[in-house]
Amino acid sequence: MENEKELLLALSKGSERALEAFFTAYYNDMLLFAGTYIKDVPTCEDIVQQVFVNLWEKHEEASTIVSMKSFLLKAVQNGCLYELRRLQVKAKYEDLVARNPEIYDYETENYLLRSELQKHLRIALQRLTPVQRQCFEMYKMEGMKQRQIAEQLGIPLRTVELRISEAVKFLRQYFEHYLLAIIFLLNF
Amino acid sequence: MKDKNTHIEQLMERYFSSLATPAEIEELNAWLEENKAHLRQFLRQKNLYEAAHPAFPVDALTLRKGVQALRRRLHKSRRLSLWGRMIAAAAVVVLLVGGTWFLASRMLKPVGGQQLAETTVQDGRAVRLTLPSGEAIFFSGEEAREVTADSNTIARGNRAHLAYTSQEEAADSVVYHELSVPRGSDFFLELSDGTKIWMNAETSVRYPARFPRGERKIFVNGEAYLEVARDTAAPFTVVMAHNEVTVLGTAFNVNSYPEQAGDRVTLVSGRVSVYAGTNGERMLLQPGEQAVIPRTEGNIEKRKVDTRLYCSWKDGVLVFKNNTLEDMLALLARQYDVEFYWHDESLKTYPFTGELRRYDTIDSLLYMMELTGKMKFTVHGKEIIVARP
Repeated sequence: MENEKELLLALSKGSERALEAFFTAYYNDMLLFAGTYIKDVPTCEDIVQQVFVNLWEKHEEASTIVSMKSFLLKAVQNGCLYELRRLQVKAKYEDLVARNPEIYDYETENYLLRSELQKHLRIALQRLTPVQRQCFEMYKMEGMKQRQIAEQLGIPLRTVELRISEAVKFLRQYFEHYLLAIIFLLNF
Repeated sequence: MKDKNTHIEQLMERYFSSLATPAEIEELNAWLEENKAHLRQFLRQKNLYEAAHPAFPVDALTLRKGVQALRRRLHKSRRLSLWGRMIAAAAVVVLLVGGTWFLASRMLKPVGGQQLAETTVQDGRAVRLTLPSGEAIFFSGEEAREVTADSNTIARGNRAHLAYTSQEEAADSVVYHELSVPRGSDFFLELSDGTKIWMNAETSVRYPARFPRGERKIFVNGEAYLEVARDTAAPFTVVMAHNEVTVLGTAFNVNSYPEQAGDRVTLVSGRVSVYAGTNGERMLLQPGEQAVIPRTEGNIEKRKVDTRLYCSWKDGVLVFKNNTLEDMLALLARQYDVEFYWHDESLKTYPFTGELRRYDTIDSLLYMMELTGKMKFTVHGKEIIVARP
């Protein structure tokens, strides 16, 4: 997020606009993060809203926050775990977290938000050749069959197959670690 | 090794999507126990799976509702922040305006005794015509429809325009109609005397379906450009919440949007007399002059202006000359029914000069503004974030 330092400073001085700027930037991503713990939308909204209310009540301390993203992730995670304990539901990964807290902390700081993943994907797609991208998008994002794509574009089926496999190959190389996500990207 | 890795990835995918069998879960657990690198890899893949498969859909509407809920929570208990006080002050102003409207409509209750619509609140996205009975007619389609105002007067129009025609010139009793244009729209209205009114977004006009003898009076809340049909026997008066403009035959723009310091009247041709409701001051305007009439106290200010800056909106052109970005985006927000959020407050005072054509979508306008290299817009549905590039 750009100007995060300035916004943090403004927030620490009591700027509600700064609070809303952070809220605007992170609210949807934080809802989805809460959604990985609790599937109930109103509960997630409540938890994330409360995180921002708490942040506002202690806004004088905002200048000590290094990264708003990790701060919020941590706070939302705590909120969710607290809520699950209150409901006496065991979190899916609680044992793993309990046994390896330092790794879990590290991964939370490096958590890739959905909006960030979408941005990465958009950038990656820009690197494909236009014809590859066209076929890939029709196939993966619009969910068309390869035969339909060939008919619509008036090109041989073999060419469509080739372009899609070239695109997938490039994206696999481009993403490396993000490979799994790309396999899952049917939803995008 | 590579095969092993692919196998584990597939296992994780099945696990995340809840397709894994108990045996597969056991296998995955054993692999996780092997070392911490495995756990790290697992968490990263879990993250990616979650980012790619949201638990529920979120969009701009979710965000908008979230912002509103947050504001409610922040202002529920604690002391009011400066921003909160400003909102409270704005609410008082709105109440005052509403109060004046109410008073005006009471005072002008027509002899026929019909009820006047007291509200100027717009609901929905369609242009709304409110009849004296309180009945509302929405114009949303291309298809023309007819409204009978009285035995001699018919209004005909669609979502873009409405025109009144009357068999007889004057009416014995006055029947008021009120037309409200929502954010994101504009509208062309032609009154029974031939006066043409271009209504800007978020504007309402109340007017007699047929004018009575010797007097033409309409009420404008928002912004409108008028070409008044000449009739020396019946002066034409535009009443805003606080101030008035009286004319004979002329073209001019009135702007009473609440965020402006005062009501602005810009004269293009002819002659008008403006009247300040607070102290009864009157002033004559010549073509090319603009009066800024305060709403609470102070005197009318008159200045020479380039009328195109204030009137070209009716032709679908937005002209800016050293306007601040904040003013400019406030205008776009109203015309396109969007909301802007500032990541960087210092951009607000950025001066903007130029001419923009009203495109079908706001995207192309934003793109052109981004070409200045000074700002960047991120669009999430109706929410637009303004930041430095």
